[in-house]
Amino acid sequence: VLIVEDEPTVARLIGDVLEDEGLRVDVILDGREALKRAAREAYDLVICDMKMPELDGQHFYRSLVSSGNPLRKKFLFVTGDVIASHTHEFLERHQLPHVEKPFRVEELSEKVRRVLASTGPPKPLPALLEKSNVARK
Amino acid sequence: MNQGQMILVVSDDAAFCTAARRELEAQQKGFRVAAVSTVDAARRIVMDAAPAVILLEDSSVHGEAAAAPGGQSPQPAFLESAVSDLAASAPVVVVGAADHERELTALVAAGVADFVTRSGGCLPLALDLVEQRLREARELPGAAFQAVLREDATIEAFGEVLRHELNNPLTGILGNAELLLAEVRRKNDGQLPNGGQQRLETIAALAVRLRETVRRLSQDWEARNRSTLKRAITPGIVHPRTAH
Repeated sequence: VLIVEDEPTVARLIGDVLEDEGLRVDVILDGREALKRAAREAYDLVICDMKMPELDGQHFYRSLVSSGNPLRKKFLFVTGDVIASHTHEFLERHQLPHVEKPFRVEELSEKVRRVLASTGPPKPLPALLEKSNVARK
Repeated sequence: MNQGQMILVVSDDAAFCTAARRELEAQQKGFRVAAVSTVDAARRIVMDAAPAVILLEDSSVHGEAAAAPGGQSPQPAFLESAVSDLAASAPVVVVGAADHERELTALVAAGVADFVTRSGGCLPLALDLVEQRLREARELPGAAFQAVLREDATIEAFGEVLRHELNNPLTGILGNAELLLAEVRRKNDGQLPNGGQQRLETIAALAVRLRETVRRLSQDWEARNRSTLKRAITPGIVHPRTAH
C-alpha cells in the first residue's frame, strides 16, 4: 500500500494500522515524490491525503488518470475537509471512496479491506502506455 | 451619474435644513434635496419616492416624542423607531445629541448607517458621510456583491485552515490512543506494550499542538473582532455598516 500523507504523525498512524492488518506499506510525505514512486512500483492500493502543500490529492489523482496508471482505480482518500464543496464535489464526481479525519482505527481498517476486496491483485504497470504519454507531452 | 439621486433631510431646525440644502446644491453634483420637518412626513415620502440617503437630525423626533403621553424630549426609543422605519428605504445618517451616542447599540440594531454627534462643526462631517453613502449607493450592487464574495472567501479559507489544523492532530490522538488501548487489551498483563511509550508521547505532543492552535485561533479571532469594532466606532462618528 502506498500512503501519501504530508502529516508525519497521521502517515505513521495509517502505516501502523495497515501493518497490524498484515499489509506492507510505503509512506511518502510529498505528492510529487509519490507520483514518481507510483510510476515505478506496483501497489494494491494508494491511501492519499487530500490537502498537501506541493501536489494535492486531486492533482495526484488526475496525474495518475492522465498517465493511465492502474492505481487510479485503487484509491482511498483521507481528508479532514470533506465539508468543503470543492472536495465533496470531486469525491462525488469520481465516485472515490474516502475516510474522514479524525477517523476511528476500525473505520480505516474496514474501508481498506473493502477497497482491496473490490480491486483484486495488482497488475503490471503499463510501461508502454506510460512512455507514449511522456512522448505526447 | 448623480442625476436623480435624492437626499432626504429630516429636521425641524429650519437653519439646519437650509444649510444642508445649500451645501449639497453648491457641490453642483446634481443631487436632489428634499427637506421635511417631521419623521412622519419622512415616512410618507419614502413610501412614494426613493431617497438614496436620509439625513436625520434628531430634533425632528421632538414632535413624535412630545405627542407621546408624558413625552417632552426626543427619547432614544423614538429615535430608534424613526431610524428603524426609515432605514428600510435608505441608509440613515443621524445627527444627534451626545447622550444618544450612549444608545448606539440600540441605534445600530435599528439600522443606523452613521452617527454624528451634534456640535458646531458637525454639518460638514455629516455631509461627507452622506456623500460617501451616495457613492456606495451608486456602486451597488457590484461593490457590495464583491465585498460579500471577499468576505465569503475569507470565511471559507478560515474554515479550511481550521479543519486542517484541528483534524490532523485529532486523527493522531484518536488513532494512537485506540492502537495503544488495543495493544494493552491484547497483552492484558498490566504492562505498557512495546512502543506504548512512544504512542503516549505522540498523543501528548499532538494535544499540546492542538492547545496552541486553539489559542492562536482564539487570539486571531479576538483581534479580528477588535479591529472590526474599532472601525465601527470612532469618536463622534459611527459606521456600523459599510453597505446598505
